[in-house]
Amino acid sequence: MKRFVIGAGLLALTTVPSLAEVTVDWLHIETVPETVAIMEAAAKEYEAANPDVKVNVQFLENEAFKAKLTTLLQSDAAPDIFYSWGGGVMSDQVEAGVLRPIGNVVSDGARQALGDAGINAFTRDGELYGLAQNVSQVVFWGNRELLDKAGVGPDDMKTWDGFLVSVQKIKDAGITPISIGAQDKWPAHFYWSYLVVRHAGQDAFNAARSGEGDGFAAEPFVKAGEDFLELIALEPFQEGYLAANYGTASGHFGDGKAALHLMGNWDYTVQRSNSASGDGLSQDQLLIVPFPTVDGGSGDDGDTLGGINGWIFHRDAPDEAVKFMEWYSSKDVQSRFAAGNSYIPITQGAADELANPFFKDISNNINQAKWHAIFFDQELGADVGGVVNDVSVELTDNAISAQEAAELVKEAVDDAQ
Amino acid sequence: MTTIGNRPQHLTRPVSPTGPTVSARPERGTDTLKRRFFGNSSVALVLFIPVTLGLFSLLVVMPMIEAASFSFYNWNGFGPMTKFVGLDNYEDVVTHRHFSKAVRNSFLVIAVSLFVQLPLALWAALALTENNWGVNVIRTLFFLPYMLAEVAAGLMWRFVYDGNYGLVPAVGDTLGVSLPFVLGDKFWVMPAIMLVIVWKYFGFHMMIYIAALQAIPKDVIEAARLDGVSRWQITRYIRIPMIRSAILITVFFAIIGALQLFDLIIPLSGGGPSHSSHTIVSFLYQFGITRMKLGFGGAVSVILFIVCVAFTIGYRRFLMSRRWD
Amino acid sequence: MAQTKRNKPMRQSEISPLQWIGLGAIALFVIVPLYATALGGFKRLGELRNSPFGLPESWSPHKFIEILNESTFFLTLWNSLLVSTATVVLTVILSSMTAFALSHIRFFGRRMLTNFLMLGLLFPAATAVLPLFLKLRDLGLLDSHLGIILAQTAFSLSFSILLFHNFFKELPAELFDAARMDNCGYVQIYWYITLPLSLPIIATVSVFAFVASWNNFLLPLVVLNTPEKYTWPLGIMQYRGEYGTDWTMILAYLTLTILPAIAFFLAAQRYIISGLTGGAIKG
Repeated sequence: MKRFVIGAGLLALTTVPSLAEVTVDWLHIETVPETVAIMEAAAKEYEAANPDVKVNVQFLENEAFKAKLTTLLQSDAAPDIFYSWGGGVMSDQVEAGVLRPIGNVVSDGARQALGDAGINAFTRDGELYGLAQNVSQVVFWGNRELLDKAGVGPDDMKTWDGFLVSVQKIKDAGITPISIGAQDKWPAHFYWSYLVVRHAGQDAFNAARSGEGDGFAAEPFVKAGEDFLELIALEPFQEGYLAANYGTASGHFGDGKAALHLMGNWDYTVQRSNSASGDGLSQDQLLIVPFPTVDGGSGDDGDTLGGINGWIFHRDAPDEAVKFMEWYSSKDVQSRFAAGNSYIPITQGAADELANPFFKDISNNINQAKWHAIFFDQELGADVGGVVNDVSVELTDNAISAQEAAELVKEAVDDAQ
Repeated sequence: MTTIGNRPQHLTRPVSPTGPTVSARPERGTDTLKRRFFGNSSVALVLFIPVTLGLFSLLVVMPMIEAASFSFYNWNGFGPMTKFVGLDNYEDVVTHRHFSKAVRNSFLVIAVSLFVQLPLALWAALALTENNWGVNVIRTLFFLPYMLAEVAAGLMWRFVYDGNYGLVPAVGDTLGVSLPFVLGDKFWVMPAIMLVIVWKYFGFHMMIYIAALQAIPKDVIEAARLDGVSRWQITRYIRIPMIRSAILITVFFAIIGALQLFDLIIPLSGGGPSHSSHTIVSFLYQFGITRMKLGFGGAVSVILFIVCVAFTIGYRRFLMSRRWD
Repeated sequence: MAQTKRNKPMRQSEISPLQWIGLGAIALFVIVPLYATALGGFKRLGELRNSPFGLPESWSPHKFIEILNESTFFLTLWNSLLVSTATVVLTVILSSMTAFALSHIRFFGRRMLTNFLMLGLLFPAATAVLPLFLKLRDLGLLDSHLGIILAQTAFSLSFSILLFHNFFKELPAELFDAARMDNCGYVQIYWYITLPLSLPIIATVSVFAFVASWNNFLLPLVVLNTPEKYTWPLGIMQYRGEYGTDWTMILAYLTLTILPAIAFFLAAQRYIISGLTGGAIKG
């Protein structure tokens, strides 16, 4: 009798899933509760519209995600959809064959909506591997009040020379000019990378990464380091910056203890949550300054540094996973994130919903940029990118010369080839 | 259970004493056959060794051998290892510009472990051998840091060292001096880390000493006391010599532990500033694993392994030779 | 306790004033960061940064209650307890048996085996994580507590065997000779004589194995995928995501998770300190 009951139970169990035949595991690293809520609501909505698909939303914390990814991708338990910064790390994954090409599933309409930049960021050897979601740009966030006090305005910082003068002025006013979280390294690499974007430009950068000529030891890359060292010579950073991580530095800026913070647009919300009060700087207290231009640089003055992040698919992901993400990338869904100031969606038209004026500006900057350079530590892969981070921090510490910095990056490129 | 015959029954028979009496051997009535079976040393070996050996080989030694084999390849952890590079990774490691610093730091940690941590642990153990309520509380307190997760300990000490809001600047204010941001200072970062190491691990060594000290027969000490031997002399000539093997083993643990140390470094300083606070293994982790250069990481591991083996053999030899006096 | 007293007229060697001062200084050194953590759970974020060592403005335990109400907190704690306890039991059984064989049975290759088992101490475990993961995958042990238990046990063997070995060597040989004369087999000696005499070292090894397992982060991280199976260090990772960088929450969580470890230690301590060995050897 008992056996019969169990058998009936099993039968019931096996018949129920016929309604939800495919489970799509979706692994994200989003931490802002409002954004997560929109994501989960979207998943529910999709499930309701597609009863044969179940979306299983999973979360991993950023650092844990990175630590786990290599192993995760080599097991059956790998999620179907997971977050990606693109760049060299994704190239490695493609090369190892752990990702699924999705070109045959994604519609032309979806491709068009993501634009060339979005599609290119996730294409390797002509194959599409992922769907871009959002763009970001690194800018100087400024504390309006402190800058006013020092008598410095955004226009004074249009060029690197003007920027250096401004930093000195801020310092003379008794204010810490710049907050930086150098212990995490990547915040420091923004300076070197942006200066490379300005001095070298896209063509020289691409030549250098493929090891042509002098590679990263060529003149514009050395010049980038030298410019950076000119800034360092002014001792512009907060006390103890080498022991500060991004969170600390961001909170420092949010507390109004430094005038400037070179960071991605996401810092708008992060500086708030990391400030001592929890309020940070309000929209009115903030301003943004694009990274200064340099004299005689080969890069276009409008070129930007930032990210294009998105979603990629494990080798064994079903078509349904791609279909779900295609729907998720639609203007309709992505507009919700724009309206909620979660991020700047790449899907065309979705950014129109951005409520935040800074995000609007940044969205325009990126659209107008001839080259939107991806964070070098992502673009160049974990290995070379790691070296870029290393040398950037060591420059802030005067531990190496601009020449040495450039040569170390070149060496890393040579080693990787 | 039943398939293994009556062995489990026999083995799980309640052991009469939780207490110390030696009389707890099997009762006379035990079946002779069974006794002979279990009396045989080869049976004991078959029971006692293979599971351990199998588990250890499978989950520890084989992964280690595989990790060591990475060192001959250029491999990022994905897909098959195809790029054989011979000894290139080893060359990259020893010529790496931060490697020598990491080695030096590891030796610094060894020195602190041996000359600060162990004496402190021994001193505390000698003071805390007796059993009473107060001693218990203190002992537990001293052992508490060891029980904390490395990440937790690292985070706590980041607060202590924080140059803006931590204890260090508070002390500086009281003394009227401005103290450096210790974790951001190339000179102070290692002393700061070593202080945390002592804090976290001295309780571990102390517990080993206490366990050994309590195994010393009480009447030996009692007799010495009755003979009027002073406290210091009892400690110097009886208690310390009698826990010699515990001391030798903690020296071994301290050195090997210092050479393998890394999980405190990452949350504390991340190896910075400018890579001045890496130990050998945090160097390995930073430049090998997080950068997905598993060949490089494998090479560091093999080098460290060889150093550890050499040390272990040397230490054994040293102990053997000392046996004679 | 009673047993200690039985053996001798208790003569308390009191701690000298100098020792008290020293102990007090060490206690202060140990306590300060712990104190900051425990109080941190009561503070606001701003307070934490402005007065990490002062008393909190309010003693409201709402953060602790919030964590306790969180359904996953007890679940992760339970998982950790399960994994750690199983690891401890398995470690103690396997390593004491092996150490016994290594210290009391003469057999061919004994020294080599001893050396082999020490290898685990000499190779950085961080490098072996990826191959270990692949092994567990091939054994079908991914996303299971058993996989973690076996791996943690395997990795604690070297250390535990060394401690047991060291302890067993010191046990008086007469005991074993007498037992052999009585026609006792090795298995019986191990079970009836060695183990009862070894409670202090069992307690010690247990505590060390427990702590290592309880705090392990990397292995559960790569092995477990289902949140319902997470151990507490993974739970705190999720927390960190959910609350951004709300350190006060994290400190409260840390305080709560250290409590079971302390409880376990206090329970084991009774055995470490009860002086069983001294009594037995004399008895």
